[in-house]
Amino acid sequence: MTLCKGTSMLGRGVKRKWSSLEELGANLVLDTPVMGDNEGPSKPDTNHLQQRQLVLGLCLEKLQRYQAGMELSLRRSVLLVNTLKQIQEEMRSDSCLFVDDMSVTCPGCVEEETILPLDSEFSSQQVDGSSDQHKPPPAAAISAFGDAVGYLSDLALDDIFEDIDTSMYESSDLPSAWAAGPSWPLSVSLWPDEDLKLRTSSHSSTGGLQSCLTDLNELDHIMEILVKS
Amino acid sequence: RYFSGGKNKMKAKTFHKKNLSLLFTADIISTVEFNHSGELLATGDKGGRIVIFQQEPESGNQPQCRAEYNVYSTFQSHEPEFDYLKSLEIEEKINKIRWLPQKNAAHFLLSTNDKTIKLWKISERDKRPEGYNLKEENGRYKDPYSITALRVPVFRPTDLMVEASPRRVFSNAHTYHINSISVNSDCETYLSADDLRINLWHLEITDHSFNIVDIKPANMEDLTEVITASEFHPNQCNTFVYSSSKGAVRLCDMRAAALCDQHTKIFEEPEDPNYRSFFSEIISSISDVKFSHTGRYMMTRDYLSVKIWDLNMETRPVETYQVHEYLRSKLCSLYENDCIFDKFECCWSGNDSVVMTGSYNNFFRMLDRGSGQDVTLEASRENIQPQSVLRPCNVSTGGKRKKDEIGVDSLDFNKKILHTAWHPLDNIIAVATINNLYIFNDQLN
Repeated sequence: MTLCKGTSMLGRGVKRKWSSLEELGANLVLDTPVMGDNEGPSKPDTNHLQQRQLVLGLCLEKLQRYQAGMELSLRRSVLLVNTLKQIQEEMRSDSCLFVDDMSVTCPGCVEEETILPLDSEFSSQQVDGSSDQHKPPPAAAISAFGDAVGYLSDLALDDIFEDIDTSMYESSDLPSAWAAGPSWPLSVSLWPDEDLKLRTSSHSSTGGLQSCLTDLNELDHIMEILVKS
Repeated sequence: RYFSGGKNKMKAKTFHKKNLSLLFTADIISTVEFNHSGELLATGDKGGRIVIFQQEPESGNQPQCRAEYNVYSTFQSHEPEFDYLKSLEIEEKINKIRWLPQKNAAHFLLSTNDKTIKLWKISERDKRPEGYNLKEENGRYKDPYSITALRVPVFRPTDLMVEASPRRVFSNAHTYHINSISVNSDCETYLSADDLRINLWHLEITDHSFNIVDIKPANMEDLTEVITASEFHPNQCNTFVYSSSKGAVRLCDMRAAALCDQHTKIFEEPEDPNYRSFFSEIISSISDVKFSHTGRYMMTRDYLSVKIWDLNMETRPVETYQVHEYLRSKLCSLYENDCIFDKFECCWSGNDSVVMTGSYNNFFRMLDRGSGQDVTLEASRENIQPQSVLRPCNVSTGGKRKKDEIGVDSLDFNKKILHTAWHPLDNIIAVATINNLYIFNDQLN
């Protein structure tokens, strides 16, 4: 299994299907290993990353699932988004982001020159006994992410969205959070303010939810680019 | 006399044997609640109906068959509605039923769906007036000119009729979905809680309520925590608690301020770092909170465990019981199939010595606080006959499976017991599977 180098990071992307997540190895033991069952220092890390990928995909899929006519459970949505944020935080700390004036780096990472082959992280052959294991496990991820995110941080976020063809979306109003400047992970508004809807009698109805779904589509694209499976 | 884990013998009185099962196969049971005497048992379902069962009068004295309950009343409590502003349906599913303490011959209960709470009066009528002057017996009006003499109408005995009538409708106070209602010990007020707010009502007043908790952030994008359950203290009318999706319970005193956003106490156990996973927060979300009958303790149910808290100690629970620890290694699958979001309820026995909660595969668990013993029982038609004794079940986690054990991977996660109730004065329990209601009593030795 190799990481593809994305050629076109902008523009239309294909929504990742569940089956492609299965290719990641969802059929492997991805459930949390019971503590004490460690078979070696490397296996939980690989499992951890794979599980993280799986959970991330499931998160996005669940958030996008929308039962027509029925209100989403707020508790469920909040729990899903919190899980998503947790994963994003973990990925961010793994990749040691530079975000304009804000530098989130782990000590020593900046100096890390070694760039492991991108596919070593997911290759099952390198799981056991590799001499690279003394490095922090996500070292490969750091470089891979560093490439992707470095590209992103070089651009102003506005530039990215100029190129995105929004004609495929029904709603054209992107929330202000997107244009507000570098703010990764991107915040997604999933729950329109219900009280606002009650107070203002103007037409809102499903518009709020629809824009949430388009937000999720965009988030999915970005995550796909960064996570790249 | 009271339940002890080692000598557990629960006897079954199942409703599928009678025609009552027809009432339940159509709809999913969504709440179960005994009244304060235990004589009545109310169930609500997804179709907005309430069915009330009454204990067979003689059976209360028979040691072996106290779990004899028959249908007392059936009525439609809530109807589906449509919110035109949001273009969304409002489900008629009954989320909670709470009985009021009985004051006269009639019974009162509160029932709620996602948006509206109703107060129902259930009364018996066994006499009816006869001999009206202006009306025929069938109700048709007589020709007034045909009346030549007057008589006094009299009450005559008639077949027992149980009538349910809505006495109050408390609506338009909740923007979000109501998850709890709780009657205050003052018997005059009650609270209703949705995901972000808790309101205080007076039972007589329907056109306004007081907001006592509001955790909605100024910017909805900052929302990270919701209210999952709430209950009044059984004795102190100024005290209530509410639980959250982050695993915390806040105790509030209404004497401190009109708006109880500042909690008086917060009960939260720090997370065990060994068990940290992507699902830690989801499984810490509290699905139910119940005070003990004495009011000294409080029980919380999260996805994998039941915790007993002493109200005097906020830092950690005094007792923790694992409901189905074998699921901890399956959290990813349970997340995938959404079972990780299931909300299990829990309940105390009448004397607070045993607690009970449901699980999957139609299992339910009884945890004896005194002896520390616990038992897993199954509520299923195939395995029990009326008057039979339930056998404990075991779930095997390791490679070796003993006889009569069931493997974790064989569990049916569609068969979940979310709602259970314990008779307030006797060891009679009501256990709801998705479609069926089971009532058990313990065997007195």
